[in-house]
Amino acid sequence: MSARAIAIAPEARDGRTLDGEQLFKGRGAAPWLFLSPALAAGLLFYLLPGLFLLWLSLTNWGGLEAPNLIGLRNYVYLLSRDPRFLETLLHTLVFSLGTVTLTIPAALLVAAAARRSRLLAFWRILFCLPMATNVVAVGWIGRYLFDGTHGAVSRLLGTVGIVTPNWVTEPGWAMAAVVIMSAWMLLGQNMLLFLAGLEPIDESFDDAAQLDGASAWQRLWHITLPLIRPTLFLATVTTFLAANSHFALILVMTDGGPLESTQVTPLYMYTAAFEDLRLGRASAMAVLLFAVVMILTFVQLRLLRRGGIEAWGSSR
Amino acid sequence: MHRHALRIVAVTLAASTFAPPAVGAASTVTVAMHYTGAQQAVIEGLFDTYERANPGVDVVYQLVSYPEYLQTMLTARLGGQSPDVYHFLSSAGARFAQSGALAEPPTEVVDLVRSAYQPSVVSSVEIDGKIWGIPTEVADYLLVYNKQHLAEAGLAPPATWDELEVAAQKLTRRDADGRPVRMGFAFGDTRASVAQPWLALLYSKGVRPSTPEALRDALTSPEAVATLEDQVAVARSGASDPALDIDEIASGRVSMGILASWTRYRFVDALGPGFADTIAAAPIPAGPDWRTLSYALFFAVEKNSPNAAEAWKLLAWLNTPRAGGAGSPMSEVLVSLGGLTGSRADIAAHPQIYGDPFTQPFVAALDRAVPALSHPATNEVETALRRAIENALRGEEEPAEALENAAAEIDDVLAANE
Repeated sequence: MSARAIAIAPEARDGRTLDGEQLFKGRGAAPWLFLSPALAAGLLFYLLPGLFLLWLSLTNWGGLEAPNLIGLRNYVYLLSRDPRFLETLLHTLVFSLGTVTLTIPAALLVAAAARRSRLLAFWRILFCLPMATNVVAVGWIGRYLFDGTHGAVSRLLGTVGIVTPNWVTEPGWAMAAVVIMSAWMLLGQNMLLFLAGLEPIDESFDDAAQLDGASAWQRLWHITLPLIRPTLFLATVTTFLAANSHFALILVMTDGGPLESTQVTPLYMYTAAFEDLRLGRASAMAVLLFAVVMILTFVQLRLLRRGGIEAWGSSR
Repeated sequence: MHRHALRIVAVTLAASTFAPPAVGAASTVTVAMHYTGAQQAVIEGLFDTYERANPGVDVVYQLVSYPEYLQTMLTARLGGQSPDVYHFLSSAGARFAQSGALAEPPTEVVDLVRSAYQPSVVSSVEIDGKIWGIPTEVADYLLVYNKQHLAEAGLAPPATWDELEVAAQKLTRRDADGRPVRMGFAFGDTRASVAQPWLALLYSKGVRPSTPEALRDALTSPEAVATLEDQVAVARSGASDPALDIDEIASGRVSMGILASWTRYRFVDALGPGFADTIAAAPIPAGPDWRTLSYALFFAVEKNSPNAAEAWKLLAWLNTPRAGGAGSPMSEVLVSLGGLTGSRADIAAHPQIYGDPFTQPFVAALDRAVPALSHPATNEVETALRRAIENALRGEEEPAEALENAAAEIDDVLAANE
């Protein structure tokens, strides 16, 4: 179909009729037309539920009776009378940042190592297997791996004389265990991103720096990382957001315990909504968590958005 | 032609919508329950029997997973797809009853419940003094122990908490690295298995709050603090370790714990039908005045059900003891599960289960049972209690401080409930 065949001819501001070509070149309806499926989906599945959530957060809805508007009481309660909510926010941040801190460098290293391997396809499949595994199955694998007595991790460390506690039942260790499993789940996805990010980088940059006597660390820090900054940004933000939604993993591995040390906000929200039937309060938690995640995402955006090959080219 | 066809369709639809139901027209009763496998097969067989005896009635079994029951029913109700019959715990029932979501049972159902069930079980389905349904599976707590471990150590089941503390230490084994091999006693690791055994011990000290407000006030009593101090003493003695939870009794890695009667099926799964050679139950170790806590699942009918009358009829049939001492049809489901019942006739009808060495003490304990709170905020109250108990057991807080914090938290919960 040619561009002219599109039968849309809105009146232009100067009174002339736009033909198909103008529709595509100017600021006509075409962009809106092409965006409309995505906008409709966004409106239906994100904006409207989001607005409904915002309204629910101002009610005392329990799910069984009609909601009553109670103003900001849910927010006041969460921020002034429920110390556990703030604790869950902190746990969520520790969990998400821990996952980012562990998985991003690991994925970059794996991608850098696998990039030049003849067995690249094999490594790709191997590291991407967790992506194809159900999160509940990953959670159970985690439980078995980190069991204090029978777990493979404890037994392995035991062979070299390191006695570990039961990771899943000790407060400090439980968070480490869930972070490790979450990082493992996201490793393959980030490895793929970094492989794609490393692909366009000319190896001559690296070779030239090597000739100039740059160490491997210097080449990574001063050449590779600045050149893949956009990929780094994408990987960091998507990992941070994905980790924020990994509550099923925690539900299976620790159920928020021990002593609520792995109680993250989505899990707390789930309990409030579907066990305690406090859907209004749970909605307020969702709004607050959304606000925190948005702020942190903008911070990441500010810190990492510039860079990459294009930035390097434009700066010359 | 087109207009004529449309007219015919419209008239047909109107006629079918407004016509009175024909005699013998099908009525479908949907029953939402969590039982799977053998229990589901038994109850579906009972529904078939009911359908044959009541032509025109179709009974549909809707399987809903136990942990997601409340969530699923909530969503179904919002979507106008509620079942006609619910089967849930009294705490969930209280929430539904308070919101006006339950139909009041007819007099004959109320009379059946009052006459056929143990008083503590009747209380489990009473919310604000009114009966809202028919109790089915009941659970209460007792001290469950490994007979072989105690026999090897020359111990009888402890009858007091002091005896339990001594026995637990004797039964505990650790490896050379200090890792637990076998623990003398284990605490629970869920809301119910932490809070409810503690409440059973509190009731045994003579404090028996029946409302969340009374429980909040009781938490700062000397009896409540002493109850938690007793538990903390066992935890600090090293005879209990969070790494080995109460479920390990079946594996032989824990010797004693306070468990609910429904755990019987886990022992059957782990050790086979002869599990009672290894595992036994004894009274709550709190002296001669011991008490336990009981709770019950119950059938209730959705208020907006168009088939409410038929649903109550089905439930009455399902739970009324049959002639010849055969017990109620529902007792077949509970027997296949090994679950406890509060129906005196059903207990008498199935001595092979309710008289076996493991289950009989749980049946007898129903006479000493104090029903769990039937209140919309029960979950939150028990969560606050669980948090306090675990904090004290782990040494994060002193018992009195932990219970004071729990009381304050329950106060907040109740304030938010108003």
